[in-house]
Amino acid sequence: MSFISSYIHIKDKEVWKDNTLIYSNTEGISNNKFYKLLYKQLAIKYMKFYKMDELSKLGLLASEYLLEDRTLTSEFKAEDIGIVLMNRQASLITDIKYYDTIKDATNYYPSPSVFVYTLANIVMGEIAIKNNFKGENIFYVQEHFNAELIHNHTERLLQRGSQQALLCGWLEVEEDKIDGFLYLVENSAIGLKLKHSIENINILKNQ
Amino acid sequence: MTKEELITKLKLEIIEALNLEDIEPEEIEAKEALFNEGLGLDSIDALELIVLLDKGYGLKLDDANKGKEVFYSVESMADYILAHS
Amino acid sequence: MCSVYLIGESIISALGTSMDQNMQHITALEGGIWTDSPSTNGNPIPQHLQSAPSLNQLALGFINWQAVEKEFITNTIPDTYTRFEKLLLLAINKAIVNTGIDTGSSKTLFILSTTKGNIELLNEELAKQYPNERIQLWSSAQEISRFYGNNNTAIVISNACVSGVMATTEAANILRNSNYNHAIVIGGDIITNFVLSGFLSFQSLSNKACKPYDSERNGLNLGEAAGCLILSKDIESDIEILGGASHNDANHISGPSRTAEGMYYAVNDALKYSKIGANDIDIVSTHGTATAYNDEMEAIGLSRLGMQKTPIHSLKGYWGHTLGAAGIIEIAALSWAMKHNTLLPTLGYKNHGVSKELNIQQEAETKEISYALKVASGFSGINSALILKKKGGKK
Repeated sequence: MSFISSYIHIKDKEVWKDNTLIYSNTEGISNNKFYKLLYKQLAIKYMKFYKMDELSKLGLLASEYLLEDRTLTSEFKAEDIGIVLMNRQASLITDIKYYDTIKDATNYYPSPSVFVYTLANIVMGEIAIKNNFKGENIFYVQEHFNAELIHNHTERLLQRGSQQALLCGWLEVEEDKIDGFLYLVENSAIGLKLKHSIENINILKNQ
Repeated sequence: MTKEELITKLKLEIIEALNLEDIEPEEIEAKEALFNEGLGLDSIDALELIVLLDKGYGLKLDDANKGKEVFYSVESMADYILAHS
Repeated sequence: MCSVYLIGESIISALGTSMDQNMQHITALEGGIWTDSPSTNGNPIPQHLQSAPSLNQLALGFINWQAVEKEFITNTIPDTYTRFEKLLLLAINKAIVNTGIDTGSSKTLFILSTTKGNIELLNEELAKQYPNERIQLWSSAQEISRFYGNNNTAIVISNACVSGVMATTEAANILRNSNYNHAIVIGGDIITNFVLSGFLSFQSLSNKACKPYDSERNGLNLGEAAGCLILSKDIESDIEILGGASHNDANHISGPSRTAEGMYYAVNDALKYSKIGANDIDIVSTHGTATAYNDEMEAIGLSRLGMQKTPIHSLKGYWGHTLGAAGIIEIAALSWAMKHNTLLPTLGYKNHGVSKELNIQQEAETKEISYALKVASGFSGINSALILKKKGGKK
């Protein structure tokens, strides 16, 4: 039996953790300013953060909030901690940013540091590097949040004993919208002690 | 442009191109190694510096080994630019 | 738990549009990489790419678009689909041909492996011809499955260069644990100015046909391809899909681990789920992109796994690195090798250029193959491994 022990939802300019609003900003600031404020609030020192694209910033911040009071690598082997993510637009917002560096033949300077983020799964690499998680990774691109797909994959990994803890969720960034939803699934009932089920995942996501 | 002016300009350009948001220009020593622990730069940053040289100074650097020399420090970058423009 | 079989496969690459063409060229050590020197065999620069900057001094694995366009017509693939989608539809048509599966059944699942899909729709002129959402990967997948009358939600797996191996693994796992009977696993990516300029900015492209594991290797060749694998738990075949796994290096987003962490864990897990040992593997189809770091990492990984004597091949020298198609077409080629008991040769390798001993296959050779391993590695530090078994093989 597996459980959801904690969740985080960064939605528009609010941060919710386990049903509690822990941060909100109503000043109508840009996404990037908002990420910077969260970064400062979390008081992490991680220079690489500023180099990341929006999707990776959102994923990293969400994972930092989610794991604020946990060090998973001291509880489980690095290779037993996995990440299962999904979104709608893959890396489109960064694709457009990269395309801007090449679309004009007279101003053609392809940017390697933007190009590297034109893959949606890079965010899993960023979370893995920051936390030293060497487990299973998968990134799905779906039109809508598909709790069943994520749930079933996660359960298969837990049931065959290959993974002990998994960060799962949905990370979507649009120009004026942020929707970062991450939850932690593990075999022991701690924290929220919520049964890992498709229904419960959907309840948390829609809260 | 004098070498001093170029160094000041390069520091600002490097901070912008490499997204070194929390770093002030004064924190980058002109003679110190760029790719040390301090700035946390990696291989992608080195590639981005190549773009900076191309875009800002019209200098094409295709040889990665040459890059190590040129991008050793802000001063070595300035020397390279002055010698080639 | 039920078994999952590979019952149909197709490859459309720089080597040709049929399995036979592709495998004939590979077994004869004939590559399909185009270079701008006159001696080359590869397909010419396609019309739609001729305005792309910096095509000079590159070596690329182009599909023969003229031949493919003709096949679109004979396959009655409508023009409402994009170039990328049409290629995938053609690949599916070729793979399902003798399988007899019902593509429209609620028990048939479509899974798409791609990195950039319809990315060329960022071009405004081209975008005008299609609905806005068509640049989205899920939209492509949906349109493709609808073409075959399938109303299930198609799954898109986009995990850089391991996408194909991961999608095949996921498809097999879903079949084993659900009501689905068949999975149509499609992989594809085409050469666009978008991807080309990015790899150029990374300075990871070679100007010659690439040389996997060679001392003179100096980068990869970008290629374009589409492929399809039909998986089934209802219909048996000679090739069974066993266990697979994917692990992250947790080291760097664009460079492989110096210790092959992720690859080591992925292969070990794949072996464990397949209930076999590293010694049982008769052949490894490696990622072998011919970049300095990838090939060295794989050599370290295989060495850590005790597989330095196991015959290996990289197929990148034939069709280049085909990104989202790579895992799919390389598994298709591997299954052919198993069915024909043939070790496939690596094109471009001459002088050993990695720090560990490897048994790199240089010529086609007849050998009984019971178990084969496919590995891949990609940006974000991800590594995937999947094992195939031949019916009637040892054990």
